[in-house]
Amino acid sequence: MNIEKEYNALVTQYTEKVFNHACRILGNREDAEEATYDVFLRVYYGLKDFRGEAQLSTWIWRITVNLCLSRKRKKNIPTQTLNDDPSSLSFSDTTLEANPELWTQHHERREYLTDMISTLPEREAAVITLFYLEGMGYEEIAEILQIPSGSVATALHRGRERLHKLMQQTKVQL
Amino acid sequence: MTCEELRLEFQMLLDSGGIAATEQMHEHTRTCLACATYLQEHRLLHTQLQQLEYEPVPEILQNKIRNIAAVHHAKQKNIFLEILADLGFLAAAGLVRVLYAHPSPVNFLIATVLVTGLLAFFLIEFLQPYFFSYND
Repeated sequence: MNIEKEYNALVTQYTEKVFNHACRILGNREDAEEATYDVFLRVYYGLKDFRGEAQLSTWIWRITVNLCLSRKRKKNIPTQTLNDDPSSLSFSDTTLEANPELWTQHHERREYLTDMISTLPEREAAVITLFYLEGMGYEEIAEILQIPSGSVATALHRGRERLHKLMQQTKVQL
Repeated sequence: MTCEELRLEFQMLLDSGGIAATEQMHEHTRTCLACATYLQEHRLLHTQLQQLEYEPVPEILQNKIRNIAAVHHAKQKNIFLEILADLGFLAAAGLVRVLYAHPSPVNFLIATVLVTGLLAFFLIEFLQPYFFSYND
């Protein structure tokens, strides 16, 4: 199969996945669009040198995850820590007051959850997205992030705890 | 079972796809309201995370990504043509020099045609970026 054909097949298979992962990590569509384009640029130019040491899917996910993480760091997108003062919590597009009515008025719950995922520390956001949105297991995520599977479990648990705390702090009804 | 044990075990349970509490957990939550709330809220959070859906990819982005290969091809082709044009230019310039070194009406005519061609080539090369560009 020549590179163009292979590339087009990958575009069909992965554009949606890459874009959605970027949306979750970066928290806004503009950045996600730029990141997705960059991922496919790298995929195209890297395809001829791809030696098959890892699976093609793992390779693409690695590019996606690393690119999103470095973009997030460069852009200095804030993340929350478990010790953060609840009053200082802020989200990518708006600061929600502790008012469920306002929340229902302006946000769908799912969108809010997506916003919150993007405020998690990078690794936790990546693990949560790969686990829930892509339905991957510990081992697969560990291979992509190049960390032990025990660390995947820890990141997943911490991520969920953090999301739970964030929801409690902003008084959002689950 | 302590609160900490219950929470850890429940997190592991969620990872393996289950959401139903074990009998031991039930026993603990009968007397611990904090853990009962914890289980309920985490179960709901887990369900909502499972319901996350793909957002549609903007069509412009999709086209841009598909065009990466085409743009790359056009660039490659352009580089090849540029090299070919440069070689042609060098060959023509060499020929003009030879023709002027041996003056005759025919040689003068051929040299003039070549010089005109070279000037036209120069102009096109110079003006090309103002007329053609890639939207990448």
